[in-house]
Amino acid sequence: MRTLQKILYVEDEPDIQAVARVALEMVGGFTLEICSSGQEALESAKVFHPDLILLDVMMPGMDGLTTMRKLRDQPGMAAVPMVFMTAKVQPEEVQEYLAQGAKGVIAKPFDPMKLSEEVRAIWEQDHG
Amino acid sequence: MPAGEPSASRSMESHDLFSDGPVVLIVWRHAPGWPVEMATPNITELLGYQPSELLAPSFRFRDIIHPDDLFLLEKEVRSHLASKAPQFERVYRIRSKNGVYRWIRDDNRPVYGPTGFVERIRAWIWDYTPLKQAEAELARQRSRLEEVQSLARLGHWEANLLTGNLWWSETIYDIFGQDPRTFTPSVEAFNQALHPEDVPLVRESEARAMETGRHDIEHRIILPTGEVRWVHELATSEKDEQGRLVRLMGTIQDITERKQAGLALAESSCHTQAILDNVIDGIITIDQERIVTSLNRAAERIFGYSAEEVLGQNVNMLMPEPYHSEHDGYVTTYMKTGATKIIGIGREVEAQRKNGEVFPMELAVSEITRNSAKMFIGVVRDITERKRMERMKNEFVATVSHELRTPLTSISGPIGLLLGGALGEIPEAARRMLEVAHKNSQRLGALINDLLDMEKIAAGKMCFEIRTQEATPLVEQAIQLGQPQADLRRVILALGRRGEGTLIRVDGQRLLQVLTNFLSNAVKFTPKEGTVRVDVLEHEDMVRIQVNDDGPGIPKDFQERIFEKFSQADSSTTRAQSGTGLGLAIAKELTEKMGGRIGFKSEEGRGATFYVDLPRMKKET
Repeated sequence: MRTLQKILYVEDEPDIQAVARVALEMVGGFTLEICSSGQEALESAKVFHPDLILLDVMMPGMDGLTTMRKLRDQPGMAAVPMVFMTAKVQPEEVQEYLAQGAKGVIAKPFDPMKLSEEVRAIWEQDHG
Repeated sequence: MPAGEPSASRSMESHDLFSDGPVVLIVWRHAPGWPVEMATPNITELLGYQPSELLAPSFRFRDIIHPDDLFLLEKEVRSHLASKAPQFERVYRIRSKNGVYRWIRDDNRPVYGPTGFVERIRAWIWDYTPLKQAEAELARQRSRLEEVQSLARLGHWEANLLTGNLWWSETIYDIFGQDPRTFTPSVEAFNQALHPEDVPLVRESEARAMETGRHDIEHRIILPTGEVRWVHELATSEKDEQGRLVRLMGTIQDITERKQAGLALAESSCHTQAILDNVIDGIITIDQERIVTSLNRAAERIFGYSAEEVLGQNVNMLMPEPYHSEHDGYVTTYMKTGATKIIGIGREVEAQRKNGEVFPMELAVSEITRNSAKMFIGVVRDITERKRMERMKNEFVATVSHELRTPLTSISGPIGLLLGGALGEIPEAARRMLEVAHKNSQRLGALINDLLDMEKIAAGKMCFEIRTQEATPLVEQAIQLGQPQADLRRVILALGRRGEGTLIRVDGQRLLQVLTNFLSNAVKFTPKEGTVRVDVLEHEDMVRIQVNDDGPGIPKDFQERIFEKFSQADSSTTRAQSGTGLGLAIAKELTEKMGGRIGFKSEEGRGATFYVDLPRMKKET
């Protein structure tokens, strides 16, 4: 089984970016690329070739769901699991993300010490 | 007959024209007692006496006259004779031989002697009883008619156009408040009594009557006392052989009472209509053929149709597809089987305005029976605006919760990383401070979740997946979820009576939320190494799940407020025992939404027992 190494994180909030960087790089040991917008992510994904993509939902410009759809349309991205990390986690919202093809949903506020484990669990479930 | 020759035999012999037939000839002398000188034999037929009986010297004609008539009769005779009248008539009663009085009428011719004194009187008498009876009958009928007319407040009048004579029945005088003894009816008098405002109306009807021959009008009159009355006039005319109008006849009925009742009814119905027209909700009635029979202003406004466009039409014109096509079927099914999705329930439906716009509407239908036919009353409310507000509120709540969670993530994240040692060792004093910050950021997160729950319950948007299930596994799961918190305080969570096999109807996840809240509270308030005990019991016809702790109990003055939002016993407790103050309020809402009850028993200083009572289901056999 391929191991999870490269994660692309799309998040407009710099403070949360900082927390996620420590949580995923230092605690989880992943290689992290962070983009501040959906548009940026579309460009970055072409060169970064992530194993998994973490997405915020509410972002200025392009929202998380649109970003996910556009990313998936890019060559070689169809099989990359996309995971939402969001504060919008009402049951019907979560249903919607999963229906749109997300592989998992992580609620904010997240536990930074456990974030890596959660991401890895989703990855393993997808590749299991 | 010559005077002074009393002779029965002569009269018996002289058979003239009067000896039989209905008219009896009697001759009596003008002397006290009126002795009879002669009587024709047909007297027997009339009164039963033989002529000879009447001629007997002891017989006096006066004696067989009815005592009530005698005085008048004598007076009349005196007066006629004094005036030397050649002839006079009388009507009176005579006792016949069998004792029965008979009415007779006579025609008297006094016979004057040479000195000018009355010597005798010749009288032709005949039976007047049948005529008298007819007269009495007529009088009786007239009085009955007057009585009926008076009861019906209905009088009649006649105008002779040739003589100009106007006659009123008694009741008309009464209706017009006039005294028949002093008042003379006339067209002028009638016109004077007419209510000025109704004059044109009456004239119009009279003009019409010239063509149709019929006058039929309701109008007001004013009595001499100033009182106003309503009358109903009916009149017709009579022509002679030459086609000339000779007579007008009519009735006048006092309809004041009926009119006032009618006016009161009209007023009350007007009042009701005004209310109906001013309510904000639309009100539409339909009959069992689904035809609209009425609608108020609000309904016109809501649907954009005028009443004329809707009345008499099938009510499905107000519905979009597929209801438009299916509605006839619903009603038919309802009429046949009584199966209904709406009557007496009320629900949100879609409706369609005249401009084609489909909008959300709240509809409540009730059924009434009028004149033994079913009728449906629909009360409708346009909830477009409410729906829009709901949507805005939902968006607002979702946005707020997102906006709160984002900075919270930036607070709890770094604290979590620091405490987790991701950034290296930190001094003990700093760690204690970070723990305070960590605990409170956790609490803030829980508060946001609880607020969202409260909002969803209040908006009726929380879905419940209620199904029949066993109570024990849910209780075990709740204990499992509460275990980490209990372990921290070294509190024992014990399941006492397990209620194995007990079936309840609940949403499992919501019940877990209630039970974990109970357990969390119980653990918080139980001294270290204490015990929290959970039991599943049957209580009355419900299932009771209770959580008992060894804590300090609930202060009396707090007991009333314990299920209120943001209520905590006191600030010192708040500090020592973290919590949002919403947990029990949410638990209460959830329990009640599942058809259950929530409660507690506590004595200060002796622990507390919180319980939920839930609908119990019979075990399947």
